[in-house]
Formats: sequence, C-alpha cells, structure tokens
Amino acid sequence: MNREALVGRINKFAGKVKIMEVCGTHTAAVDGFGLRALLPEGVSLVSGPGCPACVTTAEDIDRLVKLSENAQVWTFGDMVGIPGSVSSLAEARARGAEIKIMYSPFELAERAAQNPKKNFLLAAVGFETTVPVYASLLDTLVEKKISNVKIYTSLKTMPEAINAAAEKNAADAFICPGHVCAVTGYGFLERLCKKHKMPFVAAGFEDYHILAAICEIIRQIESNNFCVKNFYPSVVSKNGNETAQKAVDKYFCKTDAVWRGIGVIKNSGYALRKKFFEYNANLVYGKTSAEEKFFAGCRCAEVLMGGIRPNECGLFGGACRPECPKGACMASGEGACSIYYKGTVN
Amino acid sequence: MCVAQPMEVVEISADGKTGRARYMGSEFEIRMSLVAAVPGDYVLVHAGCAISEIKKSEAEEIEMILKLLEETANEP
Repeated sequence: MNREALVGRINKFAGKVKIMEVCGTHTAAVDGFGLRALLPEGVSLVSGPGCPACVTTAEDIDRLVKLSENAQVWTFGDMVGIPGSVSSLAEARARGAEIKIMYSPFELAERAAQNPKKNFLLAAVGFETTVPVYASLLDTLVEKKISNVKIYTSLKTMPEAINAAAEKNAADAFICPGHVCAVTGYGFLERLCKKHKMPFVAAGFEDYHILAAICEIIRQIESNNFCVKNFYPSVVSKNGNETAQKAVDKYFCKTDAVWRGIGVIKNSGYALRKKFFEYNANLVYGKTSAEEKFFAGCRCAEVLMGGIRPNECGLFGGACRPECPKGACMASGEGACSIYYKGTVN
Repeated sequence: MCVAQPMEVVEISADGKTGRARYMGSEFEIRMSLVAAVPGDYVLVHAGCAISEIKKSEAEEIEMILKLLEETANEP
C-alpha cells in the first residue's frame, strides 16, 4: 500500500470523523504536504493544544518582560511574538530589552560562562520533548558552577492535555505527538484509550505517517474497536527514552499548570525541584492566575481545543495576521492560525 | 517548537556528553548525554540535543507501518 493507496482507502470512508492532530508540528506537516485537500468531506482534521508557545499565558509573558529589565532573556523564536497583557517580548526588545532567540539552550551556558557578571534568564517553555534538553542544560550549569543563569519555567505535559481534550469531546480520535512520545513512550496513550474508548495513534511527521494514522483511525471507527497504534516505530517505543526521563526527574517535579485559553489542567506541568532553588526565577512570583483577558474577538481558546478552524475566527487574516498577531495561535510559527494563514496566502 | 531532525552521528567526545552530527551535509555540535549512540548511528536532534536514537530507516519504517495496517485490516 503506497501513499496513493492510503489516500484511496481513506476516501472510501463514508462516515464522519473529527480527528485532532494534537501537535503544532503535525498541523504544519498537514498543511505543508497539502493533506487536508486529499481527505473526503467526512474526515476533518482539527488542531489541538500542542504548540507550547500558544499555550503560554499572557501572565507568563508579562513576567518575562518584567524579568528582562534585569537580565538578558533567552528563548526560542516562537515565543517572542506571543502577546502579553501589555506587550510581547518582541515589543519589549524594541523598547531596549535584551531578548535573544536561541537555537539551543546550550549556547546560553557558554555565553553565561564567558560573562560571569551579567545576569541571564532562560524562558523555559515546552513539552516533554524539550524538558530533557533543559535538564541537560542544568547538568552543565551545575557541573561548571555557572551561577548567573536563572530559569523561568512554563513547562507543560501532553497526557493531561490530551485527556482534557478527550473529556471535552474535542475530537473522535487523536493523532498523537511523535516527538513527545519519543521521550515518554506511548504507554500513556494506552491509559487514555482505555479510559476514553477512541483511537490514539502516535505518528511521525512525514506525509505517509499522517496518512497511515488517518487510515488506521478510519479502520478503528468502522470496526468500532479502538486501540493504540505506534506509527512512528523508528523513534517511538512503549517506554520511551528512560535516560531522558531520569534526567527530567532529577531536576523537575510535576505541578498543576495554567494553559492559555484552556485554564488549569491538574498535574500538567513541570516546576524546578526545591533543591535547585538558586536557578528558579519563578520563586519571586505566586502561582499564575487562571483568569485571562484576550483581545476582543480573539478565538484562540476555541482553536486550541479543536472547537473551530482558525479561519472561522472573525479576526483571522484581517485584524490578526502573523505581522500583527492578536492571539498566540497567530504569533507562533507553529500556531494553527499562523499555519492556516500562510497556507491561505500561498 | 517540538521540531526535531534526524542526524547521523559523526563523532562523540571522550566523556560521551557531546558529539558532532551531520544533517543535510552540514555538521553540528550536539549534546549526546541522553542517548547511547555511536558514530554511524542516527539520532533525533531537538534544540541541539539528541533526544532519541533512530532505530530504523525510512524504508524499514514504511514497511513496518504497512504491516501494522494490514494486521489491523485482518483482525476479526
């Protein structure tokens, strides 16, 4: 069965199914390969909460902007345009704040070691894929006794978010994030499948991964027999990368987390362990508030839980565009609105 | 943000913590402490860090996925 055969099989499906591609990288791949156009009317793909920058709260951005008054802030490029309640990090940079976009946090360790009198701050945002990288950075900071780096964490975990989406009936089936599963393993999907009785397929990011996942979901829907499948076997195993999991456990502990547009999801985040307080930039603040204010008319909250497609938002492509985002899903390159917009324009 | 690239390991430092890996003809310094790979192996690199070993080629993976699909199709 080749790609054409997979598309042919999918198009024989006469029913209706709403599939959530949880991960922002999957949304980008679906758009990049033009897969949406290959699907029959009854098969709809909706985006989920799997873009870390998109689910970072305005309050977190406000705190990072404040922290940039006394430290050089390092972050991934996706983060700089995310709106805070007053400004984004990009706007703070325009006002003179030192905001650096990194490819890898290890660059930060080198720079901090070379400039011991300067304060550095890492905006640690991400899911299970990225948390081991931060743990590995902490190994370096501890080992090399680099003490001029603090870390502001807004880290989140996928199982609880996918569970929240399933509880809200956001979709009938889930294509689950392959790079998260590379670290965690796909064991958590079996717990979710048992609880929600719907298909959960771990998938990679090539067209054949996604088409095969959709094909498999359709088969399960037709047979009314649901199970977990791993369609990214080159990197995903049942138990995941246990070395990475141990590294994470050394530095971080699970905590409740506030997701932009979604609210508090219990036990869905990571915080630095008390033992590593000297690196913890969150300590000066209390817990983040679940109360959020959005730009009037912004429907990111619905986009993030598959409630609407980005182009159903009244601001999409008009007041809200990548160069002047009003919501986080348009500001991040892996946000569903930004991906849809680029697809529409191109 | 969870984007990751498959890279071929070219070199590993004596302590095994760092290494060099090749992606589309260019070589990059990467963190290797989370995987047990040797030169010639492929790893998945995210944010400058190898987060997983890649155990199969694309061709082997496609074959495996199709086998999984066939197995499901033949289930009663």
